[in-house]
Amino acid sequence: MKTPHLFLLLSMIVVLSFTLFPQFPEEDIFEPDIPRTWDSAALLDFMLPLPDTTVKVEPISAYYYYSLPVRTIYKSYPVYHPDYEPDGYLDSLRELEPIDMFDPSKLVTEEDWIRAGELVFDAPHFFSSVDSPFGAAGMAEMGVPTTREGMFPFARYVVKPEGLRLGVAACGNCHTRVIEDGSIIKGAQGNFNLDRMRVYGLVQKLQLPEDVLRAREQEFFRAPWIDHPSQTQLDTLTIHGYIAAHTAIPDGVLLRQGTNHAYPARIPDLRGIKDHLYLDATGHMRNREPGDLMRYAAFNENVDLLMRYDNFIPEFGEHEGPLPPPGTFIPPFPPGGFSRFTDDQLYALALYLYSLEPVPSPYTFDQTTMERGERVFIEQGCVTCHTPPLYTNNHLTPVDGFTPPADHFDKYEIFDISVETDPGLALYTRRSTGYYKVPTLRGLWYRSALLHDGSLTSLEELLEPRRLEDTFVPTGFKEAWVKTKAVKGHPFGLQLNDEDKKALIAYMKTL
Amino acid sequence: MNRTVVFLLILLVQETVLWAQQWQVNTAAVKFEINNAGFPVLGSFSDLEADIHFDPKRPEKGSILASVDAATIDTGIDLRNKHLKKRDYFDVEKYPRIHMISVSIKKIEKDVYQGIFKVQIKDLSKEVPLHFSFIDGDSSAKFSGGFQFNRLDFGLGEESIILADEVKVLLELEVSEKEKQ
Repeated sequence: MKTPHLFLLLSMIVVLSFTLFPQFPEEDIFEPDIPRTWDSAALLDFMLPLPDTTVKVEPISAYYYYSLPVRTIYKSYPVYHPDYEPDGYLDSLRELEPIDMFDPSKLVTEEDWIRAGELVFDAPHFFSSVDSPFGAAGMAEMGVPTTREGMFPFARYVVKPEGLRLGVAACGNCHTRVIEDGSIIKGAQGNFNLDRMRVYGLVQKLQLPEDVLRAREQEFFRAPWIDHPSQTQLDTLTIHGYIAAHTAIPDGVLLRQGTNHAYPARIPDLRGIKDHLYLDATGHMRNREPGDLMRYAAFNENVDLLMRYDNFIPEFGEHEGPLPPPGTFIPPFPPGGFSRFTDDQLYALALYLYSLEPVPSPYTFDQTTMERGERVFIEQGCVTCHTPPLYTNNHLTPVDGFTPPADHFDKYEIFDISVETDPGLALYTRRSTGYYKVPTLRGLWYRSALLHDGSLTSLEELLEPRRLEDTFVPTGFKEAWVKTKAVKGHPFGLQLNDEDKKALIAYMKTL
Repeated sequence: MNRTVVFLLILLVQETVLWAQQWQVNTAAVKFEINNAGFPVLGSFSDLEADIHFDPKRPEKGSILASVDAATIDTGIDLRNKHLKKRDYFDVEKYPRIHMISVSIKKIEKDVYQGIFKVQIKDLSKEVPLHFSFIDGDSSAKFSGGFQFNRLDFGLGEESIILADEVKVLLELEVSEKEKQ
């Protein structure tokens, strides 16, 4: 072979090798140390105990968990508001082949894993026909917010082997917020009102019968060991009660499974979650490392419905003996039966969530106002619990009616004073712990659901002394069966003069 | 017992009682100050009880015992007060009073004295220097003084990035002399 030809051949090999096998600097190669999600030892102290410690709580076994079918994350596509959907859009999607998007063998750098985690965050796992009432037409009718491109970021079209499907119930369903300018903040307290959508979809359109709805509510919310009206009323729930309870839920709040109609939970803001020690408003689960976030995601993707509380299992009601083997029963909920993400997928999800930093506030105020606001923030004692730089001290505060057992002071971060807000979520639900966690104030500028149940929607309302009166009408959550409601507790700053109040609000809107 | 020894003992006791001016507290202010995030938080205690034997001419012979009701702590914010009464701060159910007892008192200059006081908060005690003035008026006298301590020495809260460790305490007592028994 002549030398020029040899040189050409060698050059081609070099170019091809770089194309086919991209080179990464050694320091960029990420070697993931993937925790086992269903690690029996880690699960032991991952969850906080119920206030009623006589109830024996048992998650499913590792064998059972790992026997559940795993999810394939197929490539998905945006759902447009009907007024913005390009011509022939759905037909063009129907032409496409399914593509499996999550291949851990192709993830090299930490950035790759984080990007893959975003796919998991956006991956739906409930699927229905494209013209489902939960689809574009239904969301348009319900006034669900759209992005400036006219997309609903709360659902995706997914090309699956069985064809084009509407996919919902991704993490991003509840943890994505469309803000005023039409952009979205992933991981924020979301503003898709799933509860009102349930009324629209399940009652108005699908016309599920009363007994089916009641059974679903019992599966979601019942905790039979708790003798409280918010629990027992679920046994006689009517269709009108269902509609009223879900319609009462404002944006940013959710009747999440494990809460109940009287005590819903604000949707947590996941921005900055890497630094937060407890998850859920009640600090139900801990967040010590990515493995804990993986466990939280696994539980809350419906596996918690298989948890045993003495002989009560949400999915089955009173149930003695072992669970039916995975795959041997088709539950009414979740649609398609129980499934799970792989540990790889959950690890990527955890890395993605840990990468979400708080979004800087667009609000600006003059220096005098800011200095005054900061001074009031300190003088009023806000700074003690909402301590910079996280604007939370990462502690749990016991609610009225709960006295922390002595051993909790060694196990958990406890700020031993109740702020005297309504204790219901922390006492009368499956997610109860006897505590509320101190929430971060970072990201307050876009949130609409304040306090643990979103009963208040603005800082102005939070600092309004009339909210303590029984005649008050909160703009956020109030139980379906009341017209007025005192929003008690957290009395800080209620006596401020107007100027101090304005300055304090300005300061908090910049966090 | 030898009569002479008994006589001497009686003399000694009489000597202690005779020299002592005993004072009763008419009004008292017990205030404290601690920096939180760079700004001072002011607070107070009340219900001071004291047993004061103090003669400005012989301060070294003096003896001062005082205590306040820990549950009267007031920082201007009710919930904060409640929290400070809990076990991670003053634990008032278990330790209802804060005590201080003089160990020594000496004169520094006219009307100004330095005492060493043993301060007891919860089950922890520590000696602290306390400077005070004593101004004797016509019908009453005034003790004014203060001291500092590290709250962590007394198990008051934990280390904090915003709450300072040092606490300043200011005492103002208006007293009048007790009639001798």
